[in-house]
Amino acid sequence: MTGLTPSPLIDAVAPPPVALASLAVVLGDEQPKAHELEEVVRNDPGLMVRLLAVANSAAYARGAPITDVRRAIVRLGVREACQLALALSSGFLAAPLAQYGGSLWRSSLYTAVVAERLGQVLKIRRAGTLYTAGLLCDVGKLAIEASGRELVPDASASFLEVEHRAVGTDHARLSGELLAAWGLPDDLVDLVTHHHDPRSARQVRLALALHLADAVVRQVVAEGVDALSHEVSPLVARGLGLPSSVLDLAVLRASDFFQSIDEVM
Amino acid sequence: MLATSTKVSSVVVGVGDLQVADVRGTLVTHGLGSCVAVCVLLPSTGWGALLHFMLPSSRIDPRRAERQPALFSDTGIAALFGELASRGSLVQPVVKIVGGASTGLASGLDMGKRNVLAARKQLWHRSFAIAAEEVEGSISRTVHFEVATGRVRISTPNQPERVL
Repeated sequence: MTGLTPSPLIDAVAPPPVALASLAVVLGDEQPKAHELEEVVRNDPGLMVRLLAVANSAAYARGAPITDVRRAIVRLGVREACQLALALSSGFLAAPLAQYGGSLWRSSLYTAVVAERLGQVLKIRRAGTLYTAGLLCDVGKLAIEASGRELVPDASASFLEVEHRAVGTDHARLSGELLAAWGLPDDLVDLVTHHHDPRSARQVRLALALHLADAVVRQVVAEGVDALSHEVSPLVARGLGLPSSVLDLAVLRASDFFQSIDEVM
Repeated sequence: MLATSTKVSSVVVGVGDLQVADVRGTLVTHGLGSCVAVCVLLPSTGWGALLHFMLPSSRIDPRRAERQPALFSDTGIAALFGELASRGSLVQPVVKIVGGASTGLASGLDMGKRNVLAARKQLWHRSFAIAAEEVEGSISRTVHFEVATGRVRISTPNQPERVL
């Protein structure tokens, strides 16, 4: 990934549920396989219960209640079921972050959905990766929070610079290091590491879509102290040629998705 | 008609939400970024309303707007004045708007700017002037709208409070 030794800061972050890395691999496939998803979900009883709850929620319920994972996957569709399962395995994002003000929960779910939809509209290959990248691109903030070092906001500096001053690195790099430590695929690690510097990513189009999604969501979900203080790359300032209605619809879908997940968490 | 907040002193208004309160109430909304809060006081009746809308136009999903009109500027502002009109005539409403921050996207894509423009347009169509506003920029805002006084207090992390 970076060729550098990971920061010791990531050691303070508890590992995520085992299912997370497996789900990321399943969703990274152009055509996620139902049987692979089913196997991952069956191995995590808590996840299974929550996924069934979503399948039977007002947002997704059709007909009789479902009590079987396989039928839930059929009802939800494999890709959406996989996205839901990933979100349901990411409850650790809801931890309050005093230094940042708020948690990563809402913004992460929004970024996941918006990034994936932008990837689809832009017809970028492997857009499924964008969902996972959007969901996890800010987990490095958990490491900075856990460090106990004080972030001192400075209106004349970007928040990445503020993070550097406090801990000698930034949340994007730490996010990449955490994902690598958690065993997530290397392309995902690279994408997350460069989500504030898309030109340096190996897959620049994917990184630009993620960067745009991040910029769009930060203005809508302005919950953190840093939400509106990251620079937007000139490469995406014009929205990669997308009309505003595409961005608005993506945000609207993210809002719906968030509500359906938040109800069962 | 919305459930009316007459007993609780402070009511939180979520994203895509609209709440009405009488003089005992304070309407609060958190984490305004590109979203816009429209605060309206009807001095003749003592009722106030706060709308926290997220998107400029319901045209992108009219069915969604039917289920949750407060998500959008056009249907949300219509719903807001509908709620207040059901409590008394709309005589000289005092309108204040807050929010519409941006992250640096080009103006045609900047959701904050588009939301502010959409709110102004909706109010202009109804011939209601904006008495005060704090909009755009790149800061997050939390709004406390005190219905009794009509004061709108705005707070932002690491900045002094402002009052409209």
